Amino acid sequence: MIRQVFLIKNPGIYTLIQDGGRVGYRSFGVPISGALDEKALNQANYLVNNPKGYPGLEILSTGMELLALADCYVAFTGALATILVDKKVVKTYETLLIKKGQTIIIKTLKSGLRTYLGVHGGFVSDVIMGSVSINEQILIGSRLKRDEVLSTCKPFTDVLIKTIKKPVYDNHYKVILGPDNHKFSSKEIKKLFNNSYEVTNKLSRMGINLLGEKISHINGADVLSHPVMFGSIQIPANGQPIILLADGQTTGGYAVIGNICGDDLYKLGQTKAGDIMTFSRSK
Amino acid sequence: MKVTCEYAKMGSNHVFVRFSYVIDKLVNQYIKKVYQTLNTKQPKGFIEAYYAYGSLTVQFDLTITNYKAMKKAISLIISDTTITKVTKGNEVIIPVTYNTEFGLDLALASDYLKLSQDEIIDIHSSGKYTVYMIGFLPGFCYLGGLDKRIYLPRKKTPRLLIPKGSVGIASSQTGVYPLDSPGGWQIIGRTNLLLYNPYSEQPFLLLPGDTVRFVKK
Repeated sequence: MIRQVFLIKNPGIYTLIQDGGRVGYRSFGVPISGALDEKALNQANYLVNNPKGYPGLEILSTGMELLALADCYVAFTGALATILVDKKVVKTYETLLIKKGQTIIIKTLKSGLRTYLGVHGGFVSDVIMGSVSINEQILIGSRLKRDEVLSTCKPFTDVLIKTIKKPVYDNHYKVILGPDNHKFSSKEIKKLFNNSYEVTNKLSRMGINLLGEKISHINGADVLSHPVMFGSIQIPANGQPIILLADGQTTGGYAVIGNICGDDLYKLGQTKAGDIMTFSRSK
Repeated sequence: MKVTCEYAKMGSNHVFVRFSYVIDKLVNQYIKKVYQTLNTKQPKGFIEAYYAYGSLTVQFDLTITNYKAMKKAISLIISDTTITKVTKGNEVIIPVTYNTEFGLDLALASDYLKLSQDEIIDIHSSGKYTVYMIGFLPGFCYLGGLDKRIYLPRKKTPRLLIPKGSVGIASSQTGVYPLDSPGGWQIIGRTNLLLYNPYSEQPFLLLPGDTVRFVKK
């Protein structure tokens, strides 16, 4: 059963449908994709009584405007944004009932970068290689457009109103060294942990380029191309770290000094240009 | 043949296994075999494996297993794997239009290699290539087996846009861009064959282990 729930009045800057990601295709060069801030997506899913990994909206920054075509339960998580429903500010991290005819606007952003909108039943979209996650670079779907209609596959049912605590979004990341730590002296490795790095404006769903204390290699930056992943910290020849994200390439030839711990990955989805990142070593 | 390897943690839920720091055809075949066995045996908590020339990575489910147990499961598979049992893939023929219109670097390559354009084309289209690894882009195959006479270095400054289907060379490798993409390979021709179609039942033309021949169109 397909039920139309929203009409997009304004798609905002860049709004995507994202789920838990595309699993099992990296050996064919297909990135995992999925919500960059998976914790926020799953908290939204929890609030609207969906299983983990159900498709929600990943809304970059502000400007998005939706008209409800039917009653539905939703939840907003992720960035600290001002969200208006019929011009009234509503709470994030809480189950909300939206009535047919109401208008939702993502107005201003106080911190973070991406707001997640979960709807009871999840959003319907084409499943490509096991996932609905949009990745324009690899020709899978496209960003949402004005006048597009969003649907869910569940009939309207009441769900429990719940609240959940917003997680900590500091910019500190635990790093597990390797697999290319042999390319760096211990003095160079310490630079990553003893300095802070600024997020440059070169950032996308593929990766984040950082700027800070230069990290030098032993015998050149390149290694034989090997698997990389969401959270891999590459050091290219210029010594400035690049953190790969969910849409990043599956293999790479720059030395990977370390990988960000799984339980810190969600924060990468909320970092923006100018943010200052710090790192600490983890086992 | 005895293959040695070293293990490393990659993030919280991946095991990284390095077999070689250099390109080695036999080692690559061996890794392919380990990859196939992992997919067949599906050790407890296994999510997916992917590999490159000399290394392999396994993602596991932290709620079911851990690094130590997955490392052990992989090492058991490795100790049972011999190089002799490589599963042969399909042979795929790729028709290529080799000319200076599509082969953006064909003229430069001819100067660099001191070979005529026809000689380069003949050498490239008479080779038999093996899919060493897939990475960078969906369906982007790194093909080994290039004739030494037409090795070309990568471009110093990558192109911002290489059209889909472009056939290129980068040092000892050749390959086809499955999508419009930035890239640094030297382009000598183009194919109309779709290497990647996400909306198809079988999204990829080439699979690990396949062999490839390029034929002049």
